[in-house]
Amino acid sequence: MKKFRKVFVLWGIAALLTACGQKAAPTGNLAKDIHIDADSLKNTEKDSGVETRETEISARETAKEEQGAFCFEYEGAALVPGEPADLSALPKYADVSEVPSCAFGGNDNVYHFELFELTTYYDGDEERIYSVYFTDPNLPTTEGLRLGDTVDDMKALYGEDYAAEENAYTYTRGETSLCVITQNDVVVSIEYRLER
Amino acid sequence: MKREGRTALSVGGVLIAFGMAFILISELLQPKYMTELEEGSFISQYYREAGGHDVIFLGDCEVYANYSPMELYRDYGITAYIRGTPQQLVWMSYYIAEETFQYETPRVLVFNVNAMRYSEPVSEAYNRLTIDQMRWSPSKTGIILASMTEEEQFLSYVFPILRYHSRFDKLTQEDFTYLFRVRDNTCNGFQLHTETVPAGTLPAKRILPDYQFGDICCEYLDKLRLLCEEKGTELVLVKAPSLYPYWYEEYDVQIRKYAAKYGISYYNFVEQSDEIGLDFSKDTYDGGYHLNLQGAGKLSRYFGRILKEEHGLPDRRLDAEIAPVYDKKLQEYDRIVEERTGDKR
Repeated sequence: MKKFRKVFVLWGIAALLTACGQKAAPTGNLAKDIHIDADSLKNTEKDSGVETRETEISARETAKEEQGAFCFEYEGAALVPGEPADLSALPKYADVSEVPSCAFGGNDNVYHFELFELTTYYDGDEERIYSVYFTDPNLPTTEGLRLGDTVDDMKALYGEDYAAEENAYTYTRGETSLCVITQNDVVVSIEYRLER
Repeated sequence: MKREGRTALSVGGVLIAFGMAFILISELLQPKYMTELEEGSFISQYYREAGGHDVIFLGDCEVYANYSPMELYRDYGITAYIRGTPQQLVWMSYYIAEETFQYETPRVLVFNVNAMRYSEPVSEAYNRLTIDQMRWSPSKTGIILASMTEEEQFLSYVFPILRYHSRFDKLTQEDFTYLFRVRDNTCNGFQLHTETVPAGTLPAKRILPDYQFGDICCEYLDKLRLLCEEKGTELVLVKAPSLYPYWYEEYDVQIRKYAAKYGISYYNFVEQSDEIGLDFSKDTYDGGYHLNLQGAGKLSRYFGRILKEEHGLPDRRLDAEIAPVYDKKLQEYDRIVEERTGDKR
């Protein structure tokens, strides 16, 4: 009986330690159909509280400094995925849509500008840039790539240090990426994106 | 001997007390999904209604927001239940179908194909909304193992307290109110929305590097088909009429080919929106992603006719056992609608 009790208690402790030690789960990708944020789930992930968040932010800042980031410059405004979205620095957008978040809880905002779409997400109360998607062949990236250019043009501008999957090429700097999709060696999609 | 007996009794008592306390605390700490994230309780509401449905719907929000079983019954006498959950992935639908067959064998199983585009578990949060309140069975074990993200552990589904222990200081009134009781927040799995948010500008239709469905999705769709065959249930594939996320032509072609290969009916209601009579300036509650009550009514009536005429589903409105139950459900449904919209049916 004693042996059984010991095994039972040890098993219980082991189970608790194993489960408590699991990594904080992702905050979730709760889409529009859920209507409200997954606070009840999110709250359970904040075991280590402020300290963890500060450590995460500090690690993120260090990574940024070391690896850099893609920055899309448009009419004097610098758009960097992951950074706060300063809409006042941009020309007036035509419209905005609210869509289920691709990577974070709640909804994203998609601002429709004349030549591109800017997608933002909320990090707490702060609106940050998630992606910049090109919709017009007249819009160049900061380095000069446009929709309709060739794969060789892309390589000449950005080099060959990319991850290729089928007809998609991804250049990465820190937590940001530039994703280029081609068809028959012609660039048909350009997007700056946050990879987190 | 007496002393040993007493020791055994006291040890037994302690273990029982410990077990009861463990269960109670565990139940208290688990999210109840009653007033917040109510989609998390959809899966368990079925158990109180299980059995006797001619149609079972499976899929993500595109089923529980877009089809109204009460309208199917009102106009065609079709008995249906929606086992939809947020971001229900293909393998989840398979295991939920497997579980459903433990309770009943519907004539038709309707599967919404939107999830075919997702070949990886999306997040723990979504997994929890579908799995947490499932009853234990080999199907639950299967769904957990197939759905867990890298950060999750099987044991935390077996003992939810291991996952939710840190909620102790975040408990709300809901956790106590619904500790021992539950309430239905759907009508046979249908989540009713009466508000209207017209469709506006949608994001650009993005070019994808690859439109091919993932192997795992194809594998589980095949398993679902075989399961239905084995049980003598007709599998019907549908795509709900949402404006976004886009249902690409390349996706549609793959489903059409699959359906044709196995002689399965497939209805792409995105293409049939006009025929259904949908007006996305009035029939959606969130700008075109899902239908509101009015839109769901239109779609259900349209699909009900198809189910009746093309799939031979019987009219149960004169069935002595079923009719009284469904008439009561319909009254309750109409009461809720009236309460929310002021419209008397």
